[in-house]
Amino acid sequence: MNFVVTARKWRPQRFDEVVGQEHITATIKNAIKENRIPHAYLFTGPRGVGKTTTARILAKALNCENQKDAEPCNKCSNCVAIQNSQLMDIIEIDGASNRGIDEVRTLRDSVKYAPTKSKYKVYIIDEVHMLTRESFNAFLKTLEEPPEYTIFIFATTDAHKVPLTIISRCQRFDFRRIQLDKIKETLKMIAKEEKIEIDDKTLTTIAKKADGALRDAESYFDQVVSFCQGKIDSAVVAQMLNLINEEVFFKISDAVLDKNFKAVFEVTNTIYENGWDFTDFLDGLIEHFRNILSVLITNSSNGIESAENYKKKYLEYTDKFSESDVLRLLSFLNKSHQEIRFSQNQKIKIEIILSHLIALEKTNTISEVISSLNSSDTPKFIGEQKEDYSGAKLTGKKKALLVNNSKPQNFSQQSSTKIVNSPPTSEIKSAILAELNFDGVVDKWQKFVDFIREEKGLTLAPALQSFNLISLSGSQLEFSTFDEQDKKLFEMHENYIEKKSEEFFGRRLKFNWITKKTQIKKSDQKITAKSQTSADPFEEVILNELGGQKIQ
Amino acid sequence: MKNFLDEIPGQQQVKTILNGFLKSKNIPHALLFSGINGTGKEYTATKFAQSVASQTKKSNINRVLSQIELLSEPYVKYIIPLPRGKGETDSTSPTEKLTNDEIELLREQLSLKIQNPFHKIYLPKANNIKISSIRDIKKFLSLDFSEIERRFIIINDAHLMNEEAQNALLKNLEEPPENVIFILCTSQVSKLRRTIISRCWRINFDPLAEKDIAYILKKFFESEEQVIKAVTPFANGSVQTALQLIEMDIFRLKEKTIAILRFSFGRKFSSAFDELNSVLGDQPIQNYPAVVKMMIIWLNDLLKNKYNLKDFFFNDYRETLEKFNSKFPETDLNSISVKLDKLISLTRNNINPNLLSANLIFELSAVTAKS
Repeated sequence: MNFVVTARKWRPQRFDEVVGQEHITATIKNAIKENRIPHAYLFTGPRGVGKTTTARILAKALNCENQKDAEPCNKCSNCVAIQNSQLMDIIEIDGASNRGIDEVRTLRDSVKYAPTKSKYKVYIIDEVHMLTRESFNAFLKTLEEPPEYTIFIFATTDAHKVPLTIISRCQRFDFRRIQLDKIKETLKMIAKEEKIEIDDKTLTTIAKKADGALRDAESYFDQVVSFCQGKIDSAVVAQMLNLINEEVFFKISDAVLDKNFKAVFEVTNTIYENGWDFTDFLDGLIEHFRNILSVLITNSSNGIESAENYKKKYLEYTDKFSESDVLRLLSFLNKSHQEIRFSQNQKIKIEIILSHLIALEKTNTISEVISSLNSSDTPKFIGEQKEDYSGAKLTGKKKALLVNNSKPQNFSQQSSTKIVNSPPTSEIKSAILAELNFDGVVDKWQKFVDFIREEKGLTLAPALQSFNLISLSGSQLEFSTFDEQDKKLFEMHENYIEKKSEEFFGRRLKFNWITKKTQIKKSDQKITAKSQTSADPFEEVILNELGGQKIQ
Repeated sequence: MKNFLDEIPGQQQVKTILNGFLKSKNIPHALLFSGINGTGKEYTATKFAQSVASQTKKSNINRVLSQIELLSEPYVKYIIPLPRGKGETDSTSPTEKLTNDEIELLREQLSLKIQNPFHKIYLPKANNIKISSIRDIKKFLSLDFSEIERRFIIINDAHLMNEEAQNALLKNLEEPPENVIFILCTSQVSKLRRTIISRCWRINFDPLAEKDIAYILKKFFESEEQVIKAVTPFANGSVQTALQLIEMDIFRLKEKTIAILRFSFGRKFSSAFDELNSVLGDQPIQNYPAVVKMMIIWLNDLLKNKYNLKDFFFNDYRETLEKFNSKFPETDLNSISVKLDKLISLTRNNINPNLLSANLIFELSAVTAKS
């Protein structure tokens, strides 16, 4: 006899044998026992968890002649006929190949004929999500009120592609991914029956690689058994399943810490020579950094699926990485993961990604920066900052200076090659907190407008540009506008501007709009002395400095 | 017994696995060969088919083997992407509506493929595997031949099956009749549905070693020794890439790549354009990725040079590498490589080639402009 793959050979024939879907089999069995059988089922769930299998068992259980406790006997003529797919009343249709409306119409016509031999006529439609929209619609009426002897069973991996009108007419069962332990148990049972010796570690490897799908697990199992022929060695299995040695990931995370660019090329070569898949490698690397993150947050290695000696290594990382760093590395890796799939030259691409990863700067939290500013030799630094407080981007040099203040030991010369876009808030805030008076605000107003322009260049910035600043008392900034439009715009964005002012000036300014149409302009512009308000500080200045008189 | 698998150059791992299957007589009904283009997946598929067939004790074995080699039905069903005929619907047979010219070309390409297993079948407008080809499988499965012990279905470029075609394959792939073996070959596994992958035994093809590429180029394409030597390091383990580079003249390509980079870094736009256009030739879209890839390799070499690694691709140009690094020390090589990689993917969007070249050169020169 020819070899039949395990997944087919060991396809369960009774509800009891279905692995990991107790919530479904129990429901179905009880329904059969109490004779409350719906006329349509919808089985959904990921690949290889037992949808088609359950559908077949259900068809058998319904038609079995000496059904006992809702399980099929697998011996009576009906059961045997169904197993050999010879029973005319069980119709298994490939939904993906027979998806057109004509096929559905033929099916609909055949529904009205009573079953020949068995109690129920069962239609199993696999991959039902591939039916066309018209076919689904043609089905609706039949599906709602089929003849009493007809039962439909739909199986699909993509339930979201099935119209809601179909779903609402069916009893829906969601199949779960099968847990690692359950997969191991099943494989162990099969191995025992087939008289194959296989150790626990190999089973874990296989089950882990299968990712919740029993069929995948069984096919890996087959491959391993065929390949090893009797003597199963976990090292050979790892090689055969192309598993990546976890050491490699530690090399990368160490390289990130040490800024060791050489490691990139070494690791890429190792991967290349061992024939490991680059996408798998990135997957693993993402999981590796996730593990580090989990260690950082929980301070224990409980959330990690890994060997004991690696868990210890993870714990060593607790002080070396910061959470924000790892998050940034992770988000970069995630982005790269998308890109590498479409890359034609994966080896070079992986080198680029890894060098980039290592070149990523360490992040500094705002609080760290502020504390470093407050702590020691800051005056010089603030002075330097003042000239550049608009700076959305600091130059590399200054950044390095800033960084060296806080954590000098972690930075090598590399830091100057990359410039990180840091939010301008922290430095500027502390630089300006010291002095905030009206002149200061007027001087910086243009810079503030530019700052707003970065986010709301088209709407708000032009309006702000035309604001006439009048006075500042405490944090109340008074101003006026020429244009009603600008005022409206200001009212709409009042909160936003105040928030931004806090970021920029380091103090939350309260903006007051003055009703009178004063025409005082900013200090560097032409000043017209038409002002009537005595509250205007310029008036006094003008009168004093220029020796003028009030024209009444 | 002759082992056909031994004829495959390289791929030690694959051969061991397949031999394991053969020895244990546990031959699965569906195999998935994955790995980058030009690593001999299709060749291995036919060789594996022959090895399986040679296990029989029937007398007609030699005929069967030669028929498999000729990829003829009903021994082998060979499925490849085909162009769509005029007025073709899903229910017409795959070749029914093709014009005579197209059929002629198809014949020619198939015979080339049979003569030279590393030939890549190229048909214009053949962008995917048609659902009718997949439905044809059903017909193939429903027939039974008493004198043929094992039949094979080889699907080339399986990732070119569209959503419908992939779904149409599922049921047959899971439970084909006895004695039928599916072999799917693909370079992009991620484009296959999980449900397809889970039904197959997956075998990974590694990129070929340089000496294997050299061997293949010599045996199947009769390339010159000197060319082979120049091209293999850049082939990245793929015969296909090697062939493209040979066609573009590898020596010239290297020179030009460096020239373009030098001109664009030095902001001599006109000369850079001239060089780029001359290297792209009359097939700019096809050649563009290769040129950009060469640039990335060069930049990567620069990076290696910076970190004092000694393993370069451009080994003959060590001095130029040094010069580049001393002349443009501040360039951010990483980000420019990333940008170039993005540019490669632009070719898929059917963009005017001139625009592409302009983009390329300005991106390059922008790096030095900053520093």
